[in-house]
Amino acid sequence: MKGLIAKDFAILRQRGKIMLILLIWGVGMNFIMEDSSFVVGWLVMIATITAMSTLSYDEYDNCMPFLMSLPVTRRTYAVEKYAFSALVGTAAWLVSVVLVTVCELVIRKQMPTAENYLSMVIFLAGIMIIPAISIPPQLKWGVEKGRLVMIGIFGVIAVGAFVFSRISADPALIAKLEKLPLGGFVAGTIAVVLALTAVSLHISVKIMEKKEF
Amino acid sequence: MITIRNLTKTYGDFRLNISMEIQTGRVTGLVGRNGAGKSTTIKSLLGLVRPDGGEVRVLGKPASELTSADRENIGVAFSDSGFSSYLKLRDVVSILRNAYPNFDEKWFLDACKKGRLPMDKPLKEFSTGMRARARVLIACSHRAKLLILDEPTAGLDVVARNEVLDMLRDYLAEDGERTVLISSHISTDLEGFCDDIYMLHDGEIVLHEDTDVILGEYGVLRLSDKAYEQIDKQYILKTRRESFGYTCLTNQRQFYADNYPDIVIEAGSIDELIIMMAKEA
Repeated sequence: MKGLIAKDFAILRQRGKIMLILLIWGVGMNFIMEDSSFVVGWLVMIATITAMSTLSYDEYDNCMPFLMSLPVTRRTYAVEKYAFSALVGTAAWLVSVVLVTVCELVIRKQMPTAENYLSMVIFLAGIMIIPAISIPPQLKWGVEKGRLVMIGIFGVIAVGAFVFSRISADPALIAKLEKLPLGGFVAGTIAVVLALTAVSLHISVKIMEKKEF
Repeated sequence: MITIRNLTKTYGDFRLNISMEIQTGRVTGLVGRNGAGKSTTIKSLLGLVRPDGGEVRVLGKPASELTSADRENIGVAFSDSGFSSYLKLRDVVSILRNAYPNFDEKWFLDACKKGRLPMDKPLKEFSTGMRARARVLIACSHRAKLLILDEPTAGLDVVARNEVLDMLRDYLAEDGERTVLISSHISTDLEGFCDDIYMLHDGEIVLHEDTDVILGEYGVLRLSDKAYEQIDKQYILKTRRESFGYTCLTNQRQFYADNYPDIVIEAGSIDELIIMMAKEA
């Protein structure tokens, strides 16, 4: 596992300049955006997608036969992809939360509110869904075809959410949802993300165990 | 060290069906034309493909059950697979340090320096020869008991091939217990390097012999129709019709040299073996 993480960090360093530009862009966004939690969500999303791009690097040079000959199991490879995405996503979240806090203090002369921070936690949890949805198809069908499947899944989710919002556009229900305590909503989101990640990881391990290289 | 019994694997029209045994401390070559089944055999040993049938044991256990700890004792080099070409050797050092408890960093750095391999250049900017040397050094860097090398000299010129083989000779000279399985379709590479040779053709092993025996006792007879009719054929392994008569492969060159002094006899070589064994009579 340590070797694979070292490999993915080495690959990530290749994209260091891009990450730096995005960080600067994030700082700039803080001056424009009213809702600072958006910047956190955006930076974490970019970092997570960048972390998952290591799958493309593994596939691009036909690295997989060699990587699977290293002292790692197929299960370890799958677990590492989730762990690495979570590690990079969380690191980006911490950096962006500090960045947003500093920017708020400098620009608006005030700390972000507790509500702001809870929104940032929801963003972190929400974005962690991306690896859970996109890693299994990429492992199963390869990065290119896997991306198409991933876009399809996100499309279905978007349509589902749209249909749900239409069906449930009952003012009473909306009022009920608005009354939900934010802490409970955050805990619920984290629980859903963890459950989804566990299912996704299980599927990815099965895909890897059946795969031939 | 390696035991394969009745391994079968089918891809469309191609069917691999082999048995082989590799003893500890031996250097074994796997030769054959492209598509003979060399890579499939090696991938089966490493658990990269699942056999349809048979038994594959590596380091005393089924290949499908090799743990991470077992794999620390195996060094692998492929001709067409390795670390991402965007990485530098400096990155590779960091990966190997984290992947292998026995990674010999000093040896690796010294070997890279000796092999004129730059640490700060992406692998994609390496020449074909440099990449091949890097792959073999990576395979050797954790002092593995078993090296499995799939076409490590493919695409290299004669000088680069010798450099790779010299590196492997140095590695073997350090410890007599080290075992190597090396595949190649360049037979001359294996003649001066391997203790024994398995020859694969159309997914089957058509010959297994010590290299010394192949070079010392095998031979090719060039015969006219009349000479072919007259000779004792009990030591003829394979016969091919030619415009001038027949070409015959024998494993008793001296027998024919002693008893038929007038016929043309050429010393055995792996190339001749491949040609003779691969072509139909």
